[in-house]
Amino acid sequence: MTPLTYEEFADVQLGAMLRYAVMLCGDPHLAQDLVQETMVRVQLNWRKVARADAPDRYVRRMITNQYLDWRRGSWLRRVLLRAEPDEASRVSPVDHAQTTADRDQIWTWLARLPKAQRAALVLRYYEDLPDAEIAEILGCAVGTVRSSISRALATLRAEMVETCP
Amino acid sequence: MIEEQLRETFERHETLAPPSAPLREAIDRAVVRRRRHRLTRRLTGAAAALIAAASLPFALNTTAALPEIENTMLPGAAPPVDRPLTVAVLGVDDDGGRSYRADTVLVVHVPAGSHTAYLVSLPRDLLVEIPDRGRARLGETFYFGSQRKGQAPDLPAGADLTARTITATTGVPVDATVTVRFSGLRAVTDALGGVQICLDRPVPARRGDRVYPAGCQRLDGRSMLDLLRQRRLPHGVYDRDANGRAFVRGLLSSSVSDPIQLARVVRAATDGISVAGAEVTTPQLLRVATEIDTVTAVDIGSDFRGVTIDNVEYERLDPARSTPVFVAIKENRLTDWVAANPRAVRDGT
Repeated sequence: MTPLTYEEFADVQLGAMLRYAVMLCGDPHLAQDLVQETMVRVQLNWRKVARADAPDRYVRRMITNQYLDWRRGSWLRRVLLRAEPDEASRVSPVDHAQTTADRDQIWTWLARLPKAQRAALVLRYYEDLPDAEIAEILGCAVGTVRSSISRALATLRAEMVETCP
Repeated sequence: MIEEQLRETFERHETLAPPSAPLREAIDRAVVRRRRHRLTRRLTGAAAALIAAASLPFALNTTAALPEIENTMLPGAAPPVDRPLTVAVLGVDDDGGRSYRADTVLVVHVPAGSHTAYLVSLPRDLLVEIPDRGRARLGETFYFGSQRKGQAPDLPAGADLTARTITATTGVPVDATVTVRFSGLRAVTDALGGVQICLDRPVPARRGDRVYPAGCQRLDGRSMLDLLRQRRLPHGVYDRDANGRAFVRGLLSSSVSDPIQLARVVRAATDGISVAGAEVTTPQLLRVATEIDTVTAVDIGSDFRGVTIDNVEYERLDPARSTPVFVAIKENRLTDWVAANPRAVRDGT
């Protein structure tokens, strides 16, 4: 069996990684930065990545960690990231009549969730992973995954009740 | 029902994902930049030079007089080295300055166009045949080569004889040698303001009742030297070699941002290291060094078999484990061999 090369991996996975990052960040530019930064490290340390049982899961975990880490970045980054969700909520139109707008609203609300909660939601409802794998990717206990998902859902429900009583 | 809406929301926003082709190019460009940057950082961690990417000391030698390191260190117009390079790194310790033996012998092999430097550690008590001289321990070869009656030892001659002996014993041609004096390590370590070393097991100090505990610690030059000279360890010199590798890892992660300190480090490294190579030019080695980003240790077995001849103890390699490695190096297919034998390597950085 020839070992998986970085090129083969990127051919197959890069698109999926970008979509995953978009779901995490809610913003194509941030997602692009996130994936670029991660994939540079993946390429530089390719042998280590290739040796993992499931390289794609390993890389997804790298992306997730990088995303969660941004919070601990420089003040500049922190300020920029904090500013972003508020701006988004200001710009997006609030139109109760349209279902599309309603769905876009969920997207806006997602941006206000704590990052770990959002990541858990993405992993369960976009990537459709079982809780055990989510826990592995987030590096926490299965119980923590469940509680952050239920907390996130509760927040979203509360938002919904508030806007469309 | 919120769950369903979430799924829909995610799916609808898939279109936000940017196209992957331009990103892929951006990643490749960034990797090239990062490799180059890593090198600069590693060079500024000057001593990194010492063993890891054995060619780095060449860079230090040529730039020691120049304060503007960054420019001169980047590979400019040097033609690429399109062939593999093998460098013998000899860690020598002196007996009060009169005679030198090689305590550490590392063969560093960089396959053509590779980003990985492979380290093979040879035991210093290895039974070797010195060309035109006969049986000896590998570490003594340096002594036989460098000793001059009534004169100061000739270190380049010691390095040359050791290199030829390595070739005679393993069949691996050696393109260049890097000789590192242990006392030089002390100066480098101090110039760096100490180096962090992470030990697998506690090491008792040579003198006094101090113990270097397992785990990570920052040591100054004096303590580091003391630690690196320890061989009253469960596996003797092999544990010491492991400590040496831990030291290299520490060096690699040291970095210097202050130019004055950098100058000091470079000076210290130049004083402690000498380099000799016939087949390769300095800028070419430099270029190879820029492209190294992984240092990998190749295991040729550590349960060496002792043999006593005329009351002298020697060690022999396990041919089943060492010969394939040497043959692969000689035939320029080490990369493939390592891919086929992943268990034989450990990542160094």
